[in-house]
Amino acid sequence: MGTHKWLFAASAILLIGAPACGGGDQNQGPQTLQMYAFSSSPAEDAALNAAIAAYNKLGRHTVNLSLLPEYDTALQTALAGGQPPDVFYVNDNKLPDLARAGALEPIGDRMDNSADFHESLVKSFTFDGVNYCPPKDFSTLQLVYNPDEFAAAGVQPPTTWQELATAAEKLTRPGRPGLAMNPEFYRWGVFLAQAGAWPTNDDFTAMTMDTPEMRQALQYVADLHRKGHAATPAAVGTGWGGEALGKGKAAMTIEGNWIVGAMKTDFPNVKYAVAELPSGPKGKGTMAFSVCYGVAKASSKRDAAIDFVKFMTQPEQQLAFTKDFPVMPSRRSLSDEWLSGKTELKPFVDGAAYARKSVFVPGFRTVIDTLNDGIQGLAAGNRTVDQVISTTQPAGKDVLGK
Amino acid sequence: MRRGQNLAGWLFTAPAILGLGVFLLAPIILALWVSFRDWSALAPLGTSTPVGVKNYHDLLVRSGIVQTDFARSLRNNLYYVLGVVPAQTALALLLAVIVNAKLLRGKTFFRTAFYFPSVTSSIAVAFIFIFLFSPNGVINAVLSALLPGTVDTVWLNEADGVLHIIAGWLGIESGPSGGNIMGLSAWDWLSGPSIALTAVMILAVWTTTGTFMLMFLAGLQNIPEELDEAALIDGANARQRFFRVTLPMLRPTLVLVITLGLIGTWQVFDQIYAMTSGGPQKTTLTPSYLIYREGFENSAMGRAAAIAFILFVVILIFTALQRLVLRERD
Repeated sequence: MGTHKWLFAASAILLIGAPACGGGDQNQGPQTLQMYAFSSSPAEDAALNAAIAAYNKLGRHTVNLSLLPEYDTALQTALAGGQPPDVFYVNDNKLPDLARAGALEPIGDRMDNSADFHESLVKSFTFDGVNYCPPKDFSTLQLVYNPDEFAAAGVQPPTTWQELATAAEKLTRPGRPGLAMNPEFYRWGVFLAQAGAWPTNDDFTAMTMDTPEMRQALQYVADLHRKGHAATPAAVGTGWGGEALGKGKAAMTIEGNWIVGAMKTDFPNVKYAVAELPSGPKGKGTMAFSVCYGVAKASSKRDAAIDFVKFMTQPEQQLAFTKDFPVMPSRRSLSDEWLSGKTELKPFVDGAAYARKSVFVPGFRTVIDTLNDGIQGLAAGNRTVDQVISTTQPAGKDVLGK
Repeated sequence: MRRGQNLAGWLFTAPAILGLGVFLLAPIILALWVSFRDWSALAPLGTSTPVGVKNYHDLLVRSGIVQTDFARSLRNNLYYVLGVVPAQTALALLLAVIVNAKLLRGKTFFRTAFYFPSVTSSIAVAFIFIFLFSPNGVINAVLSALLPGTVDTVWLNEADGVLHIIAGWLGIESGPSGGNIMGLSAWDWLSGPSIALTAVMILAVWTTTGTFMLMFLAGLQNIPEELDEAALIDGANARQRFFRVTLPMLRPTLVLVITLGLIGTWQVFDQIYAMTSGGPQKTTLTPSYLIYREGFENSAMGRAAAIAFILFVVILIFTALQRLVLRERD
């Protein structure tokens, strides 16, 4: 069945694919816009619907929202068919592919007060020097822990690698690690950043896996796992770090803002606190994840779509949208207001200042997969740091083309 | 008159030809065309550029991560096929013989029970298997009760190959270096399925056996009883009657079951998608899953189409081999 399924998908794409040329924006007057988004929680859907209703009330244009499961596939089919929605969510790691395919109208610099967006986020949505779209909101990774366990073990939130190693050791009990973290680049990467290591250089012209800093960072996290002080959430029978923390299968985890919502719904009685990740040899480091409002280049209603995106990224809308969710407004000027009433989440906001851009180039997904493959091996203890570096370095060279 | 009949014939078959053409032939030709192009699938097909045989070259000849990943997927799937096809065929035949026995009571119940896994949604079954194989799941609970100490293996996270593990017991920790074929060393090729992949294989055998049992059952009921009786009168014992009479009579069914088994196992996707997403350490990556990853996550639809065609050729080769082995000899 498999082969036929893909062939069928390909043909469907072709048959729909009579290209609707992205003509100019001659259309005047109120337009009807189509928007694609993915949903992360019923509460967020409600907020998005409310924001769109508020916009539609202004009478400028009308926006029809489609919340889609299997979002990436649905969006890809619409783009390949030449009839994309006018406005759609873009995950930061998809941006290079979309930009290279010419799917996006660059609108990042056309927003009101666009200098106000966090610089690290703007970088994530910039490809080849073009700022494609304004960030909707964002999350950063920090250390999330159980304060009761910290108190019982006499541990303070660690501020250095040494302190983290000690804390993890003290919090480890037989069959239960102190720290649980997913074995993937999008978690381990924080330690790479703290060591001054990164898979590529800043302009993606060369792989920089084979460096002493990279070895040091990978070895440090691998050692935590080897000693049993850290483990993967799967190893303790859970799906992710938040579940491990909520079920008491670990005392610390490294997760992002989304853990707040999950703890509230799944483990309302478990106490947790957020601290900044420890500083490594090269200081603080974390990763930010973001989504932007993309406007389709093939859309014939781009001006109307830009007007809508401007509305959605206004400070008032951003605040309303992020008020009840753990995600943070992408505008710097809103940080303090967002924090009022939830100051315990300040470490997440602080992370924006030193978060490393984790978006690479088109096709880099294969390299990340190879690195993840190695990281899983390091966590399981059946690979060495040298082996991971010697497979990832050439894999990356292959994609970067040098 | 003749002419009219011809026209009527074409008219009657037209709907079927049209349907097959639009939904089968056109997509296949289109996919073949796409496999010779660089297409992100994030813009209409018109934006793609011709790249000649580059996609095939990257997968089969040029050493690099693309080739290594593809080689891994072929290796994993090869072990999957070698494990699942014989197991499901033998088990299905055994079950068919059991429920076909004249003396068995409650035949209908057993037939239904054995067939049940086949009609259950594969995704639902996959999730049940995730629970079974989880560290605090049923498998570990049973093993802990049977074996000394507690078993807390994370089955779906075990990337070590079964043959590597056995070699490890014999004191062989790594093979001779070299023997590099498509970017994987001979030692890597000989890893055997990982523990995680073995769990998926058990799932596949469990879900498909029922369907094949039905086919064997139909085959068994097509064998005239007189043959069995004649053999009995000639003094053949039960074993001889099964291997010399029943099994040869079942050859057409056997060919069908193995052919369907080969095609199905080379295209395994949904269980992998639901259970392991190609991990741990790429040991459950299969060509079908790679098609999905390259086409929809890595925006390389041309390469994905090329993998689909190579997979098609692999299936053809395996089916031809199987026909060669099972051909009538006389």
